Amino acid sequence: MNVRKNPLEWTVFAAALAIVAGCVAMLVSMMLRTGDAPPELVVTVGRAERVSSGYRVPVQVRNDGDETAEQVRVDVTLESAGEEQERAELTLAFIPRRSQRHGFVVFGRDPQCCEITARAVGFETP
Amino acid sequence: MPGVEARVPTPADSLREYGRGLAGGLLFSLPLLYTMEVWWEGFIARPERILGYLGCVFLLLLGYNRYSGIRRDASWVEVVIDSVEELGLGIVTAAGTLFLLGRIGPGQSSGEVLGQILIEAGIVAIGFSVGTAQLGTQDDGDEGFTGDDDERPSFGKEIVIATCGAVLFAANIAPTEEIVVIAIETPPGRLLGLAVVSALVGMLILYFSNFIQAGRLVAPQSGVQIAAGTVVTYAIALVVSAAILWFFGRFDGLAAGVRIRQIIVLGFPAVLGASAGRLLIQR
Repeated sequence: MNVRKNPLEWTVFAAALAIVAGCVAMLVSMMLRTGDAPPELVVTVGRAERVSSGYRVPVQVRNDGDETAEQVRVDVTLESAGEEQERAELTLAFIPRRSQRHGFVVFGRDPQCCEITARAVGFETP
Repeated sequence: MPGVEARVPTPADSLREYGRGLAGGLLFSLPLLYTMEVWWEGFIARPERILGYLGCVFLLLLGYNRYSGIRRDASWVEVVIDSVEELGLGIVTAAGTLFLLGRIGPGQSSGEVLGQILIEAGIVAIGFSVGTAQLGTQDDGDEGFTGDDDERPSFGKEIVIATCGAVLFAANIAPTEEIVVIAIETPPGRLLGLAVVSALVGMLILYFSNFIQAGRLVAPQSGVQIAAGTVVTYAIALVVSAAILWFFGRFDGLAAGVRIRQIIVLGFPAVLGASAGRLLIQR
């Protein structure tokens, strides 16, 4: 065998081999773990904060499915005594599988008054 | 540089080579690194599709390094080593660039980050290979793998190089929305015209434009040979287009007719790569 390489090149090769092998191993393990479940979106809301235009509420959407969700529309409503007081919405462009995205909605009134509910009302799949 | 047989390169030589590779890798992949649709594909594509893509990229690297790569007098072992090296460096380069561009970072799942890096890394790696081989000194004393350079290039070599050229050109355009828009909106008659023009442009570039080296790399031929060469080049362009479009999910859920239209639309840049690119990326 006639391989002409200096120590630097062998080092680079060893590092490259490790990186490539690592990536392939990760892909294979992802492949084994990824099923066919459509996007499953879990919405959680954080604590409201007073801002100049009202009350800003952080919204986090997590996708527990095996497919990416596109154009996710999230509705957040304030209810008290079974009646809707105020509604806000936001749209997230993409939520990849097993990933999460963050956004905010802003209410005119203090959400403390009411019960806050949030859910993803629609999305596309690629 | 003196062409001493079996000479071990100095670290300075190696660094120069990596520098050329980096330049080539960035030159050829920058449009992809700056394209949204490609980032999205990183988390939309399923792991098995990405794995298949990496396999195809590795085959192309093997082919390119074998016929036109860093050291053309390389043994197969060296070809494999160089290909692994280029893929690894491609991954590092893609990761670094995506990080600087703010595409990857904390808060993303590992699958999302890995997918984005690997999709970009494939083209970066091919660019690395082309850059290392082509952006360097004109004569580094290497003997061709198959011996004499002045021989008419083998059919296998022409196919591999044309495929690499087509991939480098078409991959930059394939993921964009424009391909499907053109495919849907253009009347069939004009698409047929585009197909004819694509084939003619390929022929013109390969046989009549007198590119530097064209005479050496594409041997002078009879009318029948020119026609056959043109058909083969266009066929490679169409196959590459179809493969890239499929990979970027551009076929998903579409009727066969729209898929074929897309292949023809992308066939034009692909044939430019397969003909002009082929003259540029081999020597």
